[in-house]
Amino acid sequence: MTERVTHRSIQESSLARLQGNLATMGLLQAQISSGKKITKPSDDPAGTVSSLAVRQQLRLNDQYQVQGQDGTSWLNAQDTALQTVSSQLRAARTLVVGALNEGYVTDGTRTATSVELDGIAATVLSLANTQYQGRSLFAGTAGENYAVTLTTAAVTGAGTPPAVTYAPAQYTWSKTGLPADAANPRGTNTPVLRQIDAQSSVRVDTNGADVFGADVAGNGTAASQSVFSLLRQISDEIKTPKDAGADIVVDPAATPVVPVAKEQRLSTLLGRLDTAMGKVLEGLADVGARTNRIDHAMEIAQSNKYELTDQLSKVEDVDLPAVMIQMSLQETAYKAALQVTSKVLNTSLMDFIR
Amino acid sequence: MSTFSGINASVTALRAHRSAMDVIGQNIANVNTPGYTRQRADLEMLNAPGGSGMLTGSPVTGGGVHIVGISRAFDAVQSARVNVQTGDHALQQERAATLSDLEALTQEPSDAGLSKQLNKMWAAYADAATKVGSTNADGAARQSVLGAARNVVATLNAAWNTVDQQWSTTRTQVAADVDEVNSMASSVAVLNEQIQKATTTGGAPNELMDKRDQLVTRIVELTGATTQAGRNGQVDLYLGGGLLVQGNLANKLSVSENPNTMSDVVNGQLAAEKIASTPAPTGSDLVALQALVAKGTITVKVGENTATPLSGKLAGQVEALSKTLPRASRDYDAVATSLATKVNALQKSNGGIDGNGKTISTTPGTPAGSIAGTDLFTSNTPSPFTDRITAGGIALGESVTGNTLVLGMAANGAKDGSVAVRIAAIGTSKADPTSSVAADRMEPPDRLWASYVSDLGARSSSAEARTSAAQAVLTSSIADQQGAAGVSLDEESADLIAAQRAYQGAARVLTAVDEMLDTLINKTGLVGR
Repeated sequence: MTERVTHRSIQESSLARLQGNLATMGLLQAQISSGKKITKPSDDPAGTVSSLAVRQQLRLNDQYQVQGQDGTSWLNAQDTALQTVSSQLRAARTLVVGALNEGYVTDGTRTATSVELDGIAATVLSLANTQYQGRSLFAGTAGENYAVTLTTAAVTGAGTPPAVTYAPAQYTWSKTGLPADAANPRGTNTPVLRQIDAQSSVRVDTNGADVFGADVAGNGTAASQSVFSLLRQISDEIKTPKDAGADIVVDPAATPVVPVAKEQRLSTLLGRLDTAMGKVLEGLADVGARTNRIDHAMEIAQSNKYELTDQLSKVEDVDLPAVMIQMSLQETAYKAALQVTSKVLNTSLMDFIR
Repeated sequence: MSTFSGINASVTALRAHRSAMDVIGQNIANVNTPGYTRQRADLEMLNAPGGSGMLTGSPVTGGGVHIVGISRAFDAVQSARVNVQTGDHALQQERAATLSDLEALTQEPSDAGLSKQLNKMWAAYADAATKVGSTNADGAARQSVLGAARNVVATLNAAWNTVDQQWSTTRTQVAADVDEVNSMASSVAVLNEQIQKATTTGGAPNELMDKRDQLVTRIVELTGATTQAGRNGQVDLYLGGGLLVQGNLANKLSVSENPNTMSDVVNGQLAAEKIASTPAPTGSDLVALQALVAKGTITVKVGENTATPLSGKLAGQVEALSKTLPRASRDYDAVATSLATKVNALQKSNGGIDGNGKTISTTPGTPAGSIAGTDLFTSNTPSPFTDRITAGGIALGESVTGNTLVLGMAANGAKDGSVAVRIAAIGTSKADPTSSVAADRMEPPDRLWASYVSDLGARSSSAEARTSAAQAVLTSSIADQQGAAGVSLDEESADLIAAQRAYQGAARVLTAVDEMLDTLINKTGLVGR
């Protein structure tokens, strides 16, 4: 609609267009030099939101990986401990079977066997107290620095002949939950959890009361003789057979109390040792299964990491060849604009009047 | 007809064309002067002297040429268009600049933004959850939670301070702009008066008008004032319902003393919302709230009347001061409040256990030895609205140490990390509007932040688009105006040649008449001598 064109109007509009050209160049230059398509939220508000979301996902994924690695270390430590416990119990079983076969030969042999069994009991107890970075593997959330302790020594009976009842030693687990009471006779147990993906957490400790047995109800487990107390009873039985009566109680926790005859006493205890070994093996299998689960989740997390990084790059990073081509097109346009502007503004009628 | 009328006609032509050349000279001299409107010498032929006498009846030639005036190639419509678009462009530009500053401040998406800091804090909590009670790692994990929390606080504080500073800078700028407008408005009034005098006494007010129109355009750019042509070449300026300049009188533009800080505006807005809420406050509460509203409201006055600038830089600045920046500040505050409320609520979980082995209870002392717990985030800036923690005032509690952090529940054992796990999950949680716990009804800080950033990005990008559209329209109307009012050297050169030739022609006529008179006076009656 401009009817009249003056040098000034050409100058104004040329400058505006050159400015526009230069601004576009600046934008492309910023994209190329930063390598980012989105340098500020207004470049792509929707993209910014996805970028924030993907970054959060990446952070969570890293977190899952760290938690998974930590979980694997916990479980590996338990695996080692439980393997050792299992082999110790096998050794104990051999000793008990030997004692059964040979009968109560001499006091000296009995004492030797019992000393050896005491050693095994001490090893198993210390294995049950294994720690990983200051935390008990078998009583994960408990505040104490040990998982299980001897709270009542064995009562071997008083008087001569010794008393008919035998109360084995009581070992108590450190509390990992609410104490047992009337409403909740087993108490509760709090697991140590590691989150390995958005939906699931894996338990990385093992409830010692389940694997080793608990003399006192608590930590979510009903009272049943613990392996420590059992080993102690076996050792005592071998050292000094309680022959003063036929109705000695071997398991005060069992209800109803079952008296066991003297001849069957050791084999009953052997049967119980087998049960205890079975529990340890179950615990081992469980640890193995959980380790596998974490390994699997870690593989997924690793591949997610690549995927998310790729996604982030797609949202945020520039398509370099495309931008370079755009840049060179823009450069050509800018040069052309400069050239034409300089020609147009340079001439006037003045040049042709003499 | 007089013998000498030919000489007279030539003389008028010489005079007229010399003047025309003067005008061309003025045009060429001002080819690059901003605001200059090209001028034209308006020529008009002189009528033949009418009359009676000896020679009546014979054909009479005209009396030559004269200049009736020097006109400006001024197009009022185009000029008004440029003014309107200048005001609009200034408003859009101010708006876009404010939003662009705000979004640069978010530093998103990058590794320096708040979302990264929040993520780091949640990760530190998740890490601390795995390390509760670990011999060597527990203390370090607690310290890294505190460090991450400190970084979040510092990021929020710094961002809020920058917004606050932006507010103060804009406030100062408004005062400076108002002063400039006032000084220009009085200049316009003075020029109006001079133009009126020049016009009524037949003088040439063209340059005065150019000068005045330039000032008017600048005033429009700053305030979005509208123009109206007055009598005798004067111009009146209206600003949002107020009369800024009328003829030779200028009214004072002023901006209210209050608010002095951005917090005043925010508190004013909150007070207004509280007044409108149910149950409505009454009595002294209401008076106090109304005082806050008054303190937080910015008003623009022209003379004694309140005026609302609709475009121009001033409108953009008032918008930034009363809406855009306080809104950003409130969004930052919402992030801070949500963060503090959610984390503090879990930090003070009933039955939690801290690093010193103390149990946390809502009724401290029951069970024996239990304590109330320590807020991780507190506010160090008093606000009339106590339920808010501002981004500027959020701080780590003074008595917070690594061991006062509550990471687990006492019932689960001293090495439990379940509270830390729940805190770490805040970042990915969602608001539960039906919850009975106030903290759970809030959106988590991460979501609030993401929606602030995306909203800001969308607003900024649309403001940018509108600015470039306004720029394009303005450029084209300036080009149109320059087309009509600007000096074309080609045209001036051509006109110059025409005037020059006309002058030469007139001089030639003068010579011819002179020769004719010479023949008549000196050669007549000499035949045969």
